[in-house]
Amino acid sequence: MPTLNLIWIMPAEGGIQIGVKPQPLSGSGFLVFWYRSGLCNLFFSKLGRNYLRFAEVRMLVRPLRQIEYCMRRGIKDMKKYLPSLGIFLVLLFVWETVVRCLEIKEYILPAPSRIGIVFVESIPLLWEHSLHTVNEAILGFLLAIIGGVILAMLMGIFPLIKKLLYPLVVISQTIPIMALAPLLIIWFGYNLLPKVMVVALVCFFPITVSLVEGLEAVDRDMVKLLLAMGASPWQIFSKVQLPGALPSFFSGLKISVTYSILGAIIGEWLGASKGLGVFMIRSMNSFLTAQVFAAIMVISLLSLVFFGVVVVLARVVMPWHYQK
Amino acid sequence: MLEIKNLVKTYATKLEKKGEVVSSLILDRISLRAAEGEFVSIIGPSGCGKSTLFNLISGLEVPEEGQILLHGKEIMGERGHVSYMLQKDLLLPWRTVLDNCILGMELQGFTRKDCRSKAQALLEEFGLAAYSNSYPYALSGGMRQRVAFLRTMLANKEILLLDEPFGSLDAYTKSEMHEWLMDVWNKYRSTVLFITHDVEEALLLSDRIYVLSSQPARVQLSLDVDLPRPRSREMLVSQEFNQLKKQIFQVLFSDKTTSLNI
Repeated sequence: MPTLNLIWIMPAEGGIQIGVKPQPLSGSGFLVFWYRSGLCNLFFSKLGRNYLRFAEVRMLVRPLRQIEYCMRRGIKDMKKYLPSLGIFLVLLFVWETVVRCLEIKEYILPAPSRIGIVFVESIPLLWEHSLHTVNEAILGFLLAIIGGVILAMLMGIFPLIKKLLYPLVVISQTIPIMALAPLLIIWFGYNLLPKVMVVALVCFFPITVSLVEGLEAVDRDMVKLLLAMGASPWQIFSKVQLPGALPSFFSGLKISVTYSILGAIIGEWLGASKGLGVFMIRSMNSFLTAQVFAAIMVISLLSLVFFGVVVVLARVVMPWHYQK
Repeated sequence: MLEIKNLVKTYATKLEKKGEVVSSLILDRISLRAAEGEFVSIIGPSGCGKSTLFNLISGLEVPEEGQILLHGKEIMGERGHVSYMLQKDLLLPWRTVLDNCILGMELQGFTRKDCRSKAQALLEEFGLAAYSNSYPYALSGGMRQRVAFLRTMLANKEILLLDEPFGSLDAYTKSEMHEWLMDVWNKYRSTVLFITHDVEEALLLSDRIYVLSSQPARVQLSLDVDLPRPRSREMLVSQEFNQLKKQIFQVLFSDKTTSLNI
């Protein structure tokens, strides 16, 4: 990564601050330059403010740095994935030749090239359906986070609640979602709610379990130290237990976020008018197999993007965890 | 002024096979005192109940008999009078060095801003300013213990309990730490209770040393160390120093079961 040495001189409390820091030639580096050079004041003074505090700029710089880092590492890692990409291409080639040589009917197995063409053709349609699915997945995922965090915190603070509810939480996961989803539709109708609930039901388990375990993994000596210094139970919880549980919580989030799109699709299969699940069912029923494959591609892509967002979020929230 | 009088503590242990409850005596009428601004060390074989003694003083446990007086007032079972430091640095990985230092003050309800400015000054004074925005993982073992000590001090308690704080450091780092600790302590003169099983360390740092026997722990020797301060490493080979060392060894090794780490 090329860097540029940024030198700044600016008035500070009781004198002048002079700093030299290499900045990457990228978005975050530009942001720091924009602030340090005073160019930001030109803009922000018009809004009735004399200057922007560095803390505010830093809130933008930090996530940007993490995104840049992930992208840079992603590009670096490409080399590592080249062999598997090669195998993937070989498989596609074999698939293509087999389909062509054996003259397999398109409704049974379309060739990759055909899938590509259909995909491009149905982009407007896929986009429209994706919006619904993404909407359901995000709402359900957020609901799962809210519910899971509240439940896990209650279980972490009150052992009695854990004793009472933990087995029920586990049992709830043994109920096949395919059996539950039709019931939800009977109870709540064909609107958004049952789909969001299916997503939430699929996603909340990993979140709850990982947070509960994170809260319990607190260092006993650390608690002892704080108790000796006269800390209250709430202080111990908020200053030690909760931040300490973050890495575990984010592993749970990473697992559940990949389920979220899947959950939405299952919900849609059982009754909906819009969404990728509906698109898939309709395509299947009309023997448009290539469209089914195109939908599968979109589902995988969306899940990957969701996963990426959580990874970046984890890096922004816990820089200390990743810098080790 | 901390005074401890005739502390007795027993632990009940349940024997797994027979289901009987056996109570074992851990502390047997321990008495000791530490005047304001005194550095007092406690030496004893491993597992003799030194840490139990600290748990009693910090109010985490309650003794069966005896008294713990701070300025003549009973503080048995009361928390918040002391601040603690262990062999493990117990720094919070998600807090920077600066924010780790202010933990104790924060617990007392000071605002972060006030705490930070106070801690920053102290970090600068004791050569840690360059690290104030680093996270603990970036620091060496010695540096982490320094931060842990400053945190203990900044908690602003009347008594600092140090439980083998340098136990996991190598000899060289340890002796560096001694000098650094003396530097800090000479400036602020807090009352310190220091557990160790390193006799030289105790002699180098303390005003008074208590030697405990192995379980049940009894005070076997109370020794005033009147070596002049500031003390240097050269003192380790002086005659007075060795005289005191000999005195401690005699007591420690009269006890056959002692397994001492010298």
